[in-house]
Amino acid sequence: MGVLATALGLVLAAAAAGEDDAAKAPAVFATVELHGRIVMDVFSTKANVPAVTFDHWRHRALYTCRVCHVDLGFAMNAGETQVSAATNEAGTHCGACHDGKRLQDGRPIFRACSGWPRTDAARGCTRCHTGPNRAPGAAYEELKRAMPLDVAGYIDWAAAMRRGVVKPVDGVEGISPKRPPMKVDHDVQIRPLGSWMNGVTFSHRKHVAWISCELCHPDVFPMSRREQVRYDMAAMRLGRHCGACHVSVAFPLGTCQRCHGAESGRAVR
Amino acid sequence: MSRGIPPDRWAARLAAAAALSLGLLAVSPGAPGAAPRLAEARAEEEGWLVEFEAVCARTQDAMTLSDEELHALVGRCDQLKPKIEGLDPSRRKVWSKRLQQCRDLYQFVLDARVKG
Amino acid sequence: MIRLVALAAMFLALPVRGDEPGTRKRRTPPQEFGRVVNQVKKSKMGPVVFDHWLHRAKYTCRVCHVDVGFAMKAGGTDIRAADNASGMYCGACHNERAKADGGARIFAACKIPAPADAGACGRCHGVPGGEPRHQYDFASFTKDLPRGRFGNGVDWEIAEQRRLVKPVDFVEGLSVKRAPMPVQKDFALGPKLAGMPEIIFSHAKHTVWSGCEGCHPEIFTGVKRGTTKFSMVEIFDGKFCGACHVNVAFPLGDCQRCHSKPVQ
Repeated sequence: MGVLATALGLVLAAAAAGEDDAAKAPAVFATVELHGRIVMDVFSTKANVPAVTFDHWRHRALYTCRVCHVDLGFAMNAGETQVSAATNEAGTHCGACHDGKRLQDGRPIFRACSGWPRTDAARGCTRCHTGPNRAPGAAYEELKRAMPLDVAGYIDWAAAMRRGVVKPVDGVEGISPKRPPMKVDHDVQIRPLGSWMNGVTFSHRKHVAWISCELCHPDVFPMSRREQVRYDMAAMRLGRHCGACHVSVAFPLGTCQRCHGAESGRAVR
Repeated sequence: MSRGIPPDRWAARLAAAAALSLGLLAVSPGAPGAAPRLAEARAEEEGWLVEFEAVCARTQDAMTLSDEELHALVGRCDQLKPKIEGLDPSRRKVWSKRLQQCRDLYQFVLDARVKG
Repeated sequence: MIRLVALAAMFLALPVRGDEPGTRKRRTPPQEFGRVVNQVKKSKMGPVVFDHWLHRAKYTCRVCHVDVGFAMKAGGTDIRAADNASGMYCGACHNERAKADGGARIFAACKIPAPADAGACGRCHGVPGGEPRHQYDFASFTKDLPRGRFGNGVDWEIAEQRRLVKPVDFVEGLSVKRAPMPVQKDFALGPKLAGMPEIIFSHAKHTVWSGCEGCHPEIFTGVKRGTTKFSMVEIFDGKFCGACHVNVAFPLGDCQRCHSKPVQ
C-alpha cells in the first residue's frame, strides 16, 4: 500500500513537473559544501566562456545579504539579474566592488571582466568563469573549521555573527545610504499545521541583522493583517515564503530544529 | 547729458524709454530657447489660447488666490470648454484634458478650504 | 498514511516563481525600469516601448504629463499617428523642428502619409518580424551619474542638484508661462504601522518635477473628499504615491527614503 502510494506520487510528480519545472526546482538535497552555490550563465555559454560558479560562503562572511541583494541590485532567482561583462565594467553588479580599486582588508579587490571583450583564458577570466562544477576548495575547509555548525552540519551563520566570528559589512561606500538601520524587534508566532511539530517563533531581529524590509515585504510576506496566510512546507520547498532564502542559501528547510525546536536548534559547537 | 534738451522733452524721452523696456520685459519669455509666447504666436487665429494661458498660468499660485478669484477662474474654464470642444480631434484630446486638469485644480483648492 | 500523503504532496507541488504569492517579483534591470509598453490598436505596427530614463534626464515630468497631456498609465493616452503628425503628444517635439540639447533637430514621429520604408517607424515600433526598435545606450549615458539603489541605479535627485542633468520645464507651443512657484514647507505624515518612522513629504521636491495639477486632484483628491489614509497596499497597487513611485520615480523598495523621521 505504502509502496503503491509513493510510486503513484512519483509518477504524478514526473507528469506534473515537466522538463522546465524540474530544471528550475532548487536543489534541496545539495551537500553541505555545495549549499549556497549558484551558477550564473545568462550570457557566458553563449559567449563561449564557462559559466560562473558563485559560492555564497565567501561573500557572506564579509557582507550582509542586504548589501548585494538590496543595494547592488542582485535578484534572488536564477537568470534574473543578467550580470554581464558590460554591467560589471560599468561598475554595477559584481563590478561595484570588483573594480580593482575598492579595498578589502587593505588590498584592492580584483577587477571583474577586465579582459572583456577578449575571452581567452589568459586574460584571467577563469578566476570566476570556472564552469558549474568547481570544487569548494581549501579556503572553504579553512573557513568551516573556524565556524559554528548547526545540528545538520551546515555553517551556523547567525551564531557566527552573534559570537563575532564574522563581522559582515553592512554597506558599500558610494551606493549604500548612510542611515541608521531600522530597529525591528518584533517576533511573530506561527502555529503549526500539523500537530506533530512545534510552532515557529519568527524573530525579526535575527533576520534584520542580515536583510532589510524590502527583501521580504510586501512580495514574499504581504503585510495585510486581514489575510491569514498559510505557510506550508511543500510551497516553501519550492521557493515560496521562507523558501525564498531557506532553500538555496540560508540554512535549508531540512534542518527542522532551527525553526521548530528551541534548544535543539542551537549551534552544536 | 541733458544739456541741449529742454527738461520736459527729456522727461518724455525717459518715460518712453521706461515704457519700452517694461514692454520688452513683459514679453520676454523666460525660457532658455527664447520661444515666442504661446499666446502671441497664435493670437490672431486662436483667441481661446490667449484665454487659456491667462486662466491656467495661475495654477502655481492657486493657494494664494482668494475664493472669488478661484470661482472666477473656474467659470472661465467652463466658458472655454465649448471652444476647445470645437477643435480638430488631435488638439481637442490634448487641450480638453489640460483644461480639465486646470479647472479641477482650482476646484480642489476651493474644496480644501470649505469648512467641515 | 498521513505521512505518505504529505510526502506525495511535497513532490506534487509545482515550482513557483515570479508573480506567485509568496515569491519576490522579478527585479527589473536598471535600464528597463520606467518602461511603458504602449500597445498599438488596429494596426500591424509593433508596440511602442518607451523607457523613461532618457526623457526624464532632459525634461521635467510636468512637460509631458501636464503640458503635452500624456496619461500616467500605459495605453491611457490614446495616441494616434494623426495626433503625432499634427504636433500633439510625441509630435510636440518629435517633429523635425524642435531641437534637442546640443542643437540637433529631433526626429519626426509618425509622418502622414506613412513612408514606404518601414524602417523609420521601426525606430519606436520595431519592424514586425524584423529589427527590434532602436536601443539607446543606457550604460554610457548613466556612467557618470551618481549611483543610487533601485530603479535605474541612478540617484536622479542628486544628479539634478549637482546640475549633471538639467531637465527643461517648457516646451514651445504647449507650455504655459507660469510664475515661479512659492516655496512650500515639508510636512510629516504619521504611519499606520506603529514603530515605522514618519514619512517626510516634500512638496518643494515634487513640484519641481510635477507642478500642481499633475497630482491634484486626480491622484490626491484631498482630505475634504474623504481621503485621509494612504495604505501601503493601495500604494503598491499604483494609487496615491504609487502612481509614480512604482514604475518611474524611485521605487517603493527604498522605504527609508520616505519613512525617514524616527518617531521620538
